Amino acid sequence: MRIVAVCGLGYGTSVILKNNIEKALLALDYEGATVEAVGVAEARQIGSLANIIMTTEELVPILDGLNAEIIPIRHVIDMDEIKKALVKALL
Amino acid sequence: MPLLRLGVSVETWPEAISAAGQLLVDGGHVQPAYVNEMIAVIEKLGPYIVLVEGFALAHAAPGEQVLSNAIALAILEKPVDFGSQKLVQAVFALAAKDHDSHLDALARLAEVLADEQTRNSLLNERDTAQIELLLSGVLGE
Repeated sequence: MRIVAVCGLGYGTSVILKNNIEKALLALDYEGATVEAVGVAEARQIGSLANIIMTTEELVPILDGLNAEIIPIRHVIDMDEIKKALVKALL
Repeated sequence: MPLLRLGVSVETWPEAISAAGQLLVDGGHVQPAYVNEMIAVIEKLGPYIVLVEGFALAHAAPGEQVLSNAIALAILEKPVDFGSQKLVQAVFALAAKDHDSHLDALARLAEVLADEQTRNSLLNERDTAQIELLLSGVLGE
Protein backbone atom coordinates (compact mmCIF):
# COMPACT_ATOMS: atom_id res chain seq x y z
CA MET A 1 0.00 0.00 0.00
CA ARG A 2 1.56 3.25 -1.13
CA ILE A 3 0.02 6.48 0.15
CA VAL A 4 1.12 9.85 -1.19
CA ALA A 5 0.37 13.11 0.64
CA VAL A 6 0.33 16.02 -1.77
CA CYS A 7 0.59 19.78 -1.31
CA GLY A 8 1.78 22.57 -3.56
CA LEU A 9 5.52 22.14 -3.12
CA GLY A 10 5.94 19.09 -0.90
CA TYR A 11 7.60 20.91 1.99
CA GLY A 12 4.90 22.22 4.30
CA THR A 13 1.28 21.14 4.29
CA SER A 14 1.96 17.69 2.87
CA VAL A 15 4.66 17.04 5.47
CA ILE A 16 2.12 17.71 8.22
CA LEU A 17 -0.42 15.56 6.39
CA LYS A 18 2.11 12.72 6.03
CA ASN A 19 2.90 12.86 9.75
CA ASN A 20 -0.76 12.64 10.61
CA ILE A 21 -1.44 9.82 8.14
CA GLU A 22 1.39 7.83 9.75
CA LYS A 23 -0.02 8.53 13.20
CA ALA A 24 -3.50 7.48 12.06
CA LEU A 25 -2.18 4.24 10.52
CA LEU A 26 -0.43 3.46 13.79
CA ALA A 27 -3.64 4.12 15.74
CA LEU A 28 -5.55 1.87 13.33
CA ASP A 29 -2.92 -0.85 13.67
CA TYR A 30 -2.51 -0.86 9.90
CA GLU A 31 0.90 -2.13 8.83
CA GLY A 32 2.57 -2.36 5.46
CA ALA A 33 1.81 1.12 4.12
CA THR A 34 4.42 3.62 3.02
CA VAL A 35 3.63 7.33 3.16
CA GLU A 36 5.50 10.07 1.33
CA ALA A 37 5.05 13.83 0.99
CA VAL A 38 5.40 15.42 -2.45
CA GLY A 39 4.44 18.58 -4.34
CA VAL A 40 1.91 18.68 -7.17
CA ALA A 41 4.54 18.51 -9.93
CA GLU A 42 6.04 15.31 -8.56
CA ALA A 43 2.57 13.97 -7.78
CA ARG A 44 1.60 14.30 -11.43
CA GLN A 45 4.59 12.11 -12.28
CA ILE A 46 4.38 9.42 -9.62
CA GLY A 47 0.73 9.68 -8.57
CA SER A 48 -0.44 6.81 -10.73
CA LEU A 49 2.05 4.52 -8.98
CA ALA A 50 0.33 5.18 -5.66
CA ASN A 51 -2.74 3.42 -4.32
CA ILE A 52 -4.05 6.40 -2.44
CA ILE A 53 -3.42 10.13 -2.82
CA MET A 54 -4.46 12.39 0.03
CA THR A 55 -4.45 16.12 -0.54
CA THR A 56 -6.17 19.35 0.41
CA GLU A 57 -9.45 20.11 -1.35
CA GLU A 58 -8.02 22.92 -3.49
CA LEU A 59 -5.49 20.65 -5.18
CA VAL A 60 -7.84 17.84 -6.19
CA PRO A 61 -8.59 19.29 -9.67
CA ILE A 62 -4.87 19.54 -10.47
CA LEU A 63 -4.46 15.81 -9.80
CA ASP A 64 -7.40 14.86 -11.98
CA GLY A 65 -6.74 11.89 -14.25
CA LEU A 66 -4.20 10.11 -12.05
CA ASN A 67 -4.77 6.41 -11.61
CA ALA A 68 -5.11 6.35 -7.82
CA GLU A 69 -7.86 6.88 -5.30
CA ILE A 70 -7.80 10.60 -4.51
CA ILE A 71 -9.03 11.57 -1.06
CA PRO A 72 -9.60 15.26 -0.35
CA ILE A 73 -8.82 16.41 3.19
CA ARG A 74 -10.30 19.66 4.47
CA HIS A 75 -7.97 20.18 7.41
CA VAL A 76 -4.62 18.40 7.45
CA ILE A 77 -4.29 18.73 11.22
CA ASP A 78 -7.67 17.08 11.85
CA MET A 79 -6.76 13.57 13.02
CA ASP A 80 -10.40 12.45 13.13
CA GLU A 81 -10.99 13.44 9.53
CA ILE A 82 -7.82 11.66 8.40
CA LYS A 83 -8.58 8.54 10.43
CA LYS A 84 -12.11 8.31 9.07
CA ALA A 85 -10.88 8.72 5.49
CA LEU A 86 -8.29 5.96 5.97
CA VAL A 87 -10.80 3.59 7.56
CA LYS A 88 -13.08 4.07 4.58
CA ALA A 89 -10.29 3.55 2.08
CA LEU A 90 -8.34 0.72 3.73
CA LEU A 91 -10.56 -1.35 5.96
CA MET B 1 15.43 39.40 15.75
CA PRO B 2 11.94 38.35 16.90
CA LEU B 3 10.12 35.92 14.64
CA LEU B 4 6.76 36.79 16.14
CA ARG B 5 4.58 39.84 15.60
CA LEU B 6 1.15 40.45 17.14
CA GLY B 7 -1.64 42.82 16.18
CA VAL B 8 -0.67 43.03 12.52
CA SER B 9 -3.14 45.24 10.68
CA VAL B 10 -3.77 44.12 7.08
CA GLU B 11 -6.74 43.95 4.74
CA THR B 12 -5.78 41.27 2.21
CA TRP B 13 -4.13 37.84 2.20
CA PRO B 14 -1.08 38.95 0.19
CA GLU B 15 -0.45 41.65 2.79
CA ALA B 16 -0.83 39.04 5.51
CA ILE B 17 1.75 36.77 3.89
CA SER B 18 4.06 39.72 3.32
CA ALA B 19 3.88 40.62 7.01
CA ALA B 20 4.83 37.08 8.05
CA GLY B 21 7.47 36.79 5.34
CA GLN B 22 9.02 40.12 6.33
CA LEU B 23 9.83 38.62 9.74
CA LEU B 24 11.95 36.02 7.93
CA VAL B 25 13.61 38.76 5.85
CA ASP B 26 14.32 40.91 8.92
CA GLY B 27 15.81 37.91 10.68
CA GLY B 28 18.16 37.29 7.76
CA HIS B 29 16.60 33.91 6.97
CA VAL B 30 15.43 34.62 3.42
CA GLN B 31 16.02 37.07 0.59
CA PRO B 32 13.19 39.59 0.02
CA ALA B 33 12.25 37.84 -3.25
CA TYR B 34 11.26 34.75 -1.25
CA VAL B 35 8.23 36.65 0.08
CA ASN B 36 6.94 37.27 -3.44
CA GLU B 37 7.36 33.58 -4.19
CA MET B 38 5.27 32.72 -1.13
CA ILE B 39 2.45 34.84 -2.54
CA ALA B 40 2.87 33.43 -6.06
CA VAL B 41 2.34 29.87 -4.78
CA ILE B 42 -1.11 30.78 -3.45
CA GLU B 43 -2.01 32.74 -6.58
CA LYS B 44 -1.21 29.64 -8.61
CA LEU B 45 -2.63 26.86 -6.43
CA GLY B 46 -5.23 28.44 -4.12
CA PRO B 47 -5.46 28.61 -0.33
CA TYR B 48 -4.40 25.03 0.31
CA ILE B 49 -2.00 26.31 2.98
CA VAL B 50 -4.83 26.88 5.45
CA LEU B 51 -4.13 24.08 7.93
CA VAL B 52 -7.28 24.66 9.95
CA GLU B 53 -9.75 27.52 10.28
CA GLY B 54 -7.70 30.58 11.29
CA PHE B 55 -4.21 29.23 10.65
CA ALA B 56 -2.08 29.17 7.49
CA LEU B 57 1.43 27.91 6.77
CA ALA B 58 2.97 29.99 3.97
CA HIS B 59 6.23 29.16 2.27
CA ALA B 60 7.97 28.92 -1.09
CA ALA B 61 10.35 26.27 -2.38
CA PRO B 62 13.84 25.83 -0.92
CA GLY B 63 16.54 27.42 -3.05
CA GLU B 64 19.00 30.27 -3.16
CA GLN B 65 16.44 32.61 -1.59
CA VAL B 66 16.58 30.65 1.67
CA LEU B 67 19.57 31.53 3.84
CA SER B 68 18.69 29.52 6.93
CA ASN B 69 15.83 27.47 8.36
CA ALA B 70 13.23 29.33 10.39
CA ILE B 71 9.53 29.55 11.19
CA ALA B 72 7.96 32.96 11.90
CA LEU B 73 4.43 33.92 12.90
CA ALA B 74 2.33 37.02 12.26
CA ILE B 75 -0.94 37.26 14.17
CA LEU B 76 -3.42 39.60 12.54
CA GLU B 77 -5.61 42.19 14.23
CA LYS B 78 -8.59 40.65 12.42
CA PRO B 79 -8.99 37.63 10.11
CA VAL B 80 -8.61 38.01 6.34
CA ASP B 81 -10.13 35.84 3.61
CA PHE B 82 -7.53 33.64 1.93
CA GLY B 83 -10.02 32.58 -0.74
CA SER B 84 -12.62 29.79 -0.71
CA GLN B 85 -14.00 31.63 2.34
CA LYS B 86 -11.11 30.39 4.44
CA LEU B 87 -10.49 33.00 7.10
CA VAL B 88 -6.99 33.25 8.52
CA GLN B 89 -5.79 35.20 11.52
CA ALA B 90 -2.43 33.54 12.18
CA VAL B 91 0.10 33.25 9.35
CA PHE B 92 3.14 31.05 9.85
CA ALA B 93 6.00 31.63 7.41
CA LEU B 94 8.39 28.76 6.80
CA ALA B 95 11.88 28.96 5.36
CA ALA B 96 13.36 25.53 4.66
CA LYS B 97 16.77 24.92 3.16
CA ASP B 98 16.02 21.33 2.22
CA HIS B 99 13.46 18.58 2.55
CA ASP B 100 14.26 17.30 6.02
CA SER B 101 15.72 19.87 8.39
CA HIS B 102 12.39 21.43 9.39
CA LEU B 103 10.39 18.23 9.92
CA ASP B 104 10.50 18.20 13.72
CA ALA B 105 9.28 21.79 13.91
CA LEU B 106 6.38 21.04 11.55
CA ALA B 107 5.41 17.93 13.49
CA ARG B 108 5.37 19.99 16.67
CA LEU B 109 3.32 22.71 14.94
CA ALA B 110 0.74 20.12 13.87
CA GLU B 111 0.49 18.85 17.45
CA VAL B 112 0.01 22.35 18.84
CA LEU B 113 -2.64 23.31 16.29
CA ALA B 114 -4.56 20.06 16.73
CA ASP B 115 -5.79 21.34 20.10
CA GLU B 116 -8.71 23.77 19.79
CA GLN B 117 -8.12 25.40 23.15
CA THR B 118 -4.51 26.12 22.22
CA ARG B 119 -5.64 27.58 18.89
CA ASN B 120 -7.97 29.96 20.70
CA SER B 121 -5.21 30.93 23.12
CA LEU B 122 -2.86 31.70 20.25
CA LEU B 123 -5.37 34.02 18.60
CA ASN B 124 -6.40 35.84 21.77
CA GLU B 125 -3.19 36.03 23.78
CA ARG B 126 -1.60 39.49 23.92
CA ASP B 127 1.60 38.46 25.66
CA THR B 128 4.33 37.45 23.24
CA ALA B 129 6.11 35.41 25.92
CA GLN B 130 2.99 33.26 26.39
CA ILE B 131 2.70 32.64 22.66
CA GLU B 132 6.37 31.74 22.44
CA LEU B 133 5.79 29.29 25.27
CA LEU B 134 2.84 27.67 23.49
CA LEU B 135 4.94 27.42 20.33
CA SER B 136 8.21 26.26 21.84
CA GLY B 137 9.94 23.96 19.41
CA VAL B 138 8.12 25.60 16.50
CA LEU B 139 9.03 29.28 16.22
CA GLY B 140 12.66 30.13 15.65
CA GLU B 141 15.60 28.67 13.83
